[in-house]
Formats: sequence, structure tokens, C-alpha cells
Amino acid sequence: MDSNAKPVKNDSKQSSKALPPLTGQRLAVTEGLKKHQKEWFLGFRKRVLEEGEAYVIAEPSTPHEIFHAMDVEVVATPWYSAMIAAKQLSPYYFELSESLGYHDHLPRYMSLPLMSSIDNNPERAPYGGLPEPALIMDRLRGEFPQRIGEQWAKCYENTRYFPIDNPGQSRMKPRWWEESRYNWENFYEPHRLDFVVDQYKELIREAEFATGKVFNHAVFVEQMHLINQLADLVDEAKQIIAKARPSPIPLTEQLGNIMGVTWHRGSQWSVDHLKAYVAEIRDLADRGVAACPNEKVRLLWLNNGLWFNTAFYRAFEEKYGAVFVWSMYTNYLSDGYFRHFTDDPLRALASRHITSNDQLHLPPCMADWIIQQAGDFGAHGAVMLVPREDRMSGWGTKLCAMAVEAAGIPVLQLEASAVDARTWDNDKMTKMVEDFIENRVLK
Amino acid sequence: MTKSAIDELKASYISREQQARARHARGEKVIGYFSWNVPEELILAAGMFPVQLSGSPDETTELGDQYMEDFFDGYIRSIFNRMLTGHFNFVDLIVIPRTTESYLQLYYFLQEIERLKPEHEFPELYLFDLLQTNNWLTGRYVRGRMDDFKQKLEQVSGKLIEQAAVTNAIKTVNRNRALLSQVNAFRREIPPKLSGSDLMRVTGASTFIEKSTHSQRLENLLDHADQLKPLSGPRLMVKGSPLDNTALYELIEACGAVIVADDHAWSERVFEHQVREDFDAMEALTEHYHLHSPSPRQFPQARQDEIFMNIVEQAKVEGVIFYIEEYDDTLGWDYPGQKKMLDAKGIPSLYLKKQSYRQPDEVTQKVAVTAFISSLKQ
Repeated sequence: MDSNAKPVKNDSKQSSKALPPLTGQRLAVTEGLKKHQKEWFLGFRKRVLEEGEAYVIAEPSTPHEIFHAMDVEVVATPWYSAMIAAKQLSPYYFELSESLGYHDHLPRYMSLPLMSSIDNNPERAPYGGLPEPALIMDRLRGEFPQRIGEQWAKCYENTRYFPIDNPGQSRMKPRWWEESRYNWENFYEPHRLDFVVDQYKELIREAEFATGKVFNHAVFVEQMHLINQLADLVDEAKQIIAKARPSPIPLTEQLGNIMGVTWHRGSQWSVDHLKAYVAEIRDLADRGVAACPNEKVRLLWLNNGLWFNTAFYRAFEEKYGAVFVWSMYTNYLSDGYFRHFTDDPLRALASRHITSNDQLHLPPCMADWIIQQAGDFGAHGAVMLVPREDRMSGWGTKLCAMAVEAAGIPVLQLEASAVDARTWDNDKMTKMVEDFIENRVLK
Repeated sequence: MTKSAIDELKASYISREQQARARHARGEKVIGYFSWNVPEELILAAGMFPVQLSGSPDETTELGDQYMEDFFDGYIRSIFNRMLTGHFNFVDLIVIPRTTESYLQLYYFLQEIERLKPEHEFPELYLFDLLQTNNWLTGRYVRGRMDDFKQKLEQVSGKLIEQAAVTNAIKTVNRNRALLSQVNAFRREIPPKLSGSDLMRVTGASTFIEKSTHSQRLENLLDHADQLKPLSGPRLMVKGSPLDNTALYELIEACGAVIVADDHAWSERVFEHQVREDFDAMEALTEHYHLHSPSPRQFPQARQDEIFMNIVEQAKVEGVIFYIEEYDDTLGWDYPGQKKMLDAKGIPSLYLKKQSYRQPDEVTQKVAVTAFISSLKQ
């Protein structure tokens, strides 16, 4: 860990240093992002509903890039799930799920959009609900995605379900975020890449039939290069935030901007937006602007986001000067997406998505990366969300926490769903984090 | 004589690892594996002893609990604990199939334990990356994994596996599957002449002892079938999470029913399909394990539901008990649709959900099962 990373106690003289707060708590580029998202969704609905264009629903670690290169719109399931949660609709949909006979230990995160389709009530669903997609695309990690996908496709008349089968990695190896940039062919195992590339070719053929559009190879190559640019820009932003004391922007601003770009990766807008984002945070950092002028403690948020209560990330700033500076979403676009390639962009794409969830959620990959980030950001502690019902995000958290603790970073585990607001006890969770800061981080 | 054959098979089921441990003690190579999705034919062809490994609900899991979340499947936690305590150290290689995400996670967890806690010693691991989406391309991937597994076994045994040996092993295992199907027919009779508990023991034993010995005992049982006594009670089917022990079956049958059919990881589904003997052996194994080896990854669901309903009909099932483990994240998606299918046929069902592997609430189970059986009798 960074030797300068000691937390600052409340009586420190540093706390009296006057720093300008982030005006309005929101970046100018964030307003641009909101405007773009709104316009995108209006455009999406116009193209899909009014003009009858085909679109695709896709799991996050699937090759959205293929559809972007066909000028086919993609709706990412976690994005829509997060929208449902943010609009406080998750309790309604989970109650619907249980009334239909699905037991309440079933995965939460990826099933919310299915429930909105089963409910089929445009008045209730965010943005009027998801119209009929041409394809639902999935990557089969656990056994439940194929069930959700098949049932979801049946909610519509002509939707095809396209699962991408997921070969297992023979050996989890260290420092994936370095190896994956240039050494991905060996790192992700050639026999697995062969199979996934073949599946992508099938997907392209299927998508061409389903949408009536043709995959444009030149556009695809250009987008792959643009995504590499994005990755470098995200890394630049990370370096600024990691080095700045105090952090110029709150975690919520990082999340909104990086995730917004992730779903629209490869477009010129995404590059332009991130350039503006980097410029703005660089300016803020240069001027000493602070998300929390009283910053004393830097924390990492580990595992899934708390989508129905993002205010929680900032709930400890006033009392403790405790600021969340990093989560896995803030720079996975740099560390997990960059792929150097010369002659086989489809293979590079396969290597991007072949192990992405595993890198975020499996003990060896997850822990090593977090320890690296903790050092880079000078973090004093980490709060980890452990979602019991979304087991593939919950599994491995114990081993990961153990490894992170062994590296000298205290970890607090909070058992809670990322999207099910019904199970969240805000007072209890706040108390747990406060106790953690007082007894583990500041001691 | 019949009683003796069944008793021998029951004893083999109970003392699961006895033969494998004895072989290891004699210096023979033993290959351990999990689930029915590993081609034991190749292990036999390699001249090594295959043994299916499992957890045990009777053991606590203190060591495993230190590293593994409590919302893992109970049988996986138990296996993990046994790995860390060295319980399986009598085998030369452990094969973990990628036919549930839990098994894949187990494989990665054990890799992490090797890194973080090397004091816990266990045998070498091998991931058999069996994928089961039903298309040609996946089949080609599985063929590659099958060849890789064959090479691994050759490396462990130090001998090449001959084509003829694979062909012979396929015949040996097919014969065993066919005999198990014949024994299962006793459950289908009206009235049934074999309990579900006994069939589960007889089936399980086939992966614990030498295959030819097991087949001989099955033949012995078949030869003396006239000595089997008819059983009375409603004809039930058990469907759901893996049951690597007979506790639930015994409880249900003690309540007065007979389990005449089942559909889970240790059920009659494991011997329902034969490996083809009329073409290339490695291709035949690939086809079998890719498309016909039952697991929750079999796809599409409509085909699996069709198989389920065919068994219900063929076995003249009067009621179905769905048994779903505590932290299930998969089978609960199937249940509402399957219940609807049963309702449409007028077949009642009981939903035992959130069931603990290690500490099942037997009192509550008994109350629910008794009430269900009573409702069937009315």
C-alpha cells in the first residue's frame, strides 16, 4: 500500500485546510451524459417503436460491439435493472415474481427486467418498458441465465434467445489486468478463444438474419480501436483521481460517466465524452476542488453497486470525511477492455468477454486487482457488498476479503442485494460502516 | 439370494470409498470424479479405477466454512471441506466437470486455496470442461475436451489408451446402464417391487465398485426377481436438487409412499441413455456426454420438461415432490412451469423448497409429506 495512505483523524490540522467543494455536486460532463442518455433513449424508441427497427437485449459481458458495428441498438440488462432499482420499482417486481411461484432466493440482478416484461405494463416500467427485441443475447456462466433468457424470449412473439456458451478457464492466473492487454492469446487459452470466435461468427450470421442488417467489418475495426482509446482515457482519469488528495469527484460521478460510456462504447460520442470527462476532472484536481473538502479516509466499494441507494456512498463524508474513491465499475473499462490487436479483431473481442465476470468476481482475479487498486488510490479500507441471492457475485467474497485483509486493507462485508430495496436496512448498514470506520480504519 | 444381491449393493453404497481406498493401498491408480458427467469409460480404458466422490451430510464443515460462503450448495460445501481435510487424498487425480457453476467455482476455490493456504494438501485437479448447449459447434468443443481428458489420463497412467480399450469400456458401462434400467423396471410395476431408496443405493453403488462386479450383482438380482415383494402406497416421483444420500427417500417411503421415479443428479436419469457402439468410440462418448448426460445445463428447457413429463406418464406417477436446496438459484426458475404442466394433467405436487443439505428439518418434512400422501389417498 501507499505509505502516505494513513487515514487522518478528526483532530488533524489537515481538516482545517480550506478546499473548494465540488459546486452542485455534479460535473458539467455528467449533465451532458444525462442529456445524451435521454436523447439516446428517445432515439431508440423512435427507431424501434415508430420505425420498427430491430434491437437487442444483452447481458453485460457479451459482445455488444457486434451490434454496434451493425448499427443495431443494444439494451444492457444491468442498465435496465439499475433503472428499475433506481426508480424504486424493484419491490413491485419481486413481489410479482414470488406471486408467480419463483422462490425468493433466486437471482435478483438479472431477473428484474424479465419481470418487467412479464408484467407488460408500460405505464409502470422505466421508459415505458422494453419493446420486443429481435434477440436476447446471453453468456452462460451459471445455469440460471439460460432459464431467464428462454422465459424472457417467450414474453414476445418473435424474439430469439441466443446463448453464448462459456468455456471454463483451466487455470486462473495472476495480474490479468496487465496480461490481458497484449498477451491475451496465451492468457485466455487458444482452445477457448477458438470456440468463442466460432460462436461470435454464428451470432453475426444469426443477427444478420434477425435484424436484416449486415455486420460492417470496417466499422467494427474502427470501434475496437476507439474502445482502446476509451480504455486509455479511463486509465488517465483513474490516475488523476488516484493521485489527487482530496478526490476531486465523488464515486457517484465516476460511476455514472464510466458506465454510461461502457454501454455506448466504441462510438465517437463515447470518446469525446471521456475526453471532456478527463479534462474536467484534471481541471478540478489542479484547482484542488474536493468532492469532500473534509476528506480524511479513502474507501473502496467492492463488488456490485448499490443501485437503489447510491446516496449511501456519500453518507460518511460529513461525519468522518470518508470518501469512496473506487469501485470495480470505475476502471474495468480500462483494465478489462483494452486489447491490442493487429489482424484478428474478432479474436481480440472474444478475449475481452471470455472471462470478464470471473475477473470481477472470482477470488484470485478479484483480490489481486483490488489490492492493486487500494495501493494506487491510497485506500484505508474497503466496504464489500455480498449479495446472497445473486450468488455468482457473492461467491468468493470471503476468500477475496481474506486476501485483501492480508494485504493490510481492512474490509467490511455488508450482506445485501444490489437491487432489492426491500432487504436494505439503512440504519443498520450505516451503523456497520460507522463502526468499521471508527474501529478498523481510524484505529 | 435376491436379498443377498441387494444387501451387497447396499453395502457398497454405504462404504462408498472402500474399494477405491483398497486399490490405492495396493498401489493401483485411482481417479476420483464428481457427478455423472465425467466419462468413466475413459478412466476404465486407461486401466485405472474410477470412483465417484461425494460430500456427506453427516459431517460438519468447519474448515470449509472459513473460506466458503454459506450460500453455496450444501453438497459442494461438504466436498470442499473434505478436500481441505485431506479426505480424498487416496486418489491420484480429481476430475471436476463444468456441468454446474458450483463445480466450476469449487475448482477455482481450490486453486485459490493452493495459493493462499498451501498447508491444505489435496490431489491434483483436472477441469473437464463439458459444455451442453445443443449444437454442433459445442459438440466440437466437447470433442476437444474429451481428447484433452484422454491425454491427461494417459499422462497419469503412463500408458496410451488404445481405441479397442475405449470400445470395450463403452460396452462395459453400457451393459451396466442396461441392467440398471432393467432393475428400475421393478419400480415401474404395479404394484412396484423395488423402493426408490433401494434403487438409489443400487445405482450409486455402480460408481463405487468395479463395474463388472456391480453388473454381476445386478444380474444376480434380476435372476431372483421373483423373490421381490410388492410394495404398497401412492406412487411418487422426486425431482429437483442433487440427492447424494437416501435420507429424504427413506423419510418419504417411511410415510407410506413408494418413489417409483425420479429426476435429479443421482436419479434414474443417469442410466437412461446408452453410448452408441456403432461408430467411432471418442465421437460416441462426445455425443453422449454433450447431449445426453443429465445436468442442469442441458438445453433447451422444453426438452428437459418433456423428458420429465414422459417419466411421470410412463411411471404412472400419482404425485410429484419437488425438492429444492436452500440456496438454489436455478431449479426455482423451472418450478412454476413444471407445476402448471402437472396441474394440467391433474397430478398433485408438493414443493419442498429451501431445504438444508446438512441439517434438514425432518419434522417439517415429515408433516408436509404425510399430509401430501394423505391427500393423495383421499
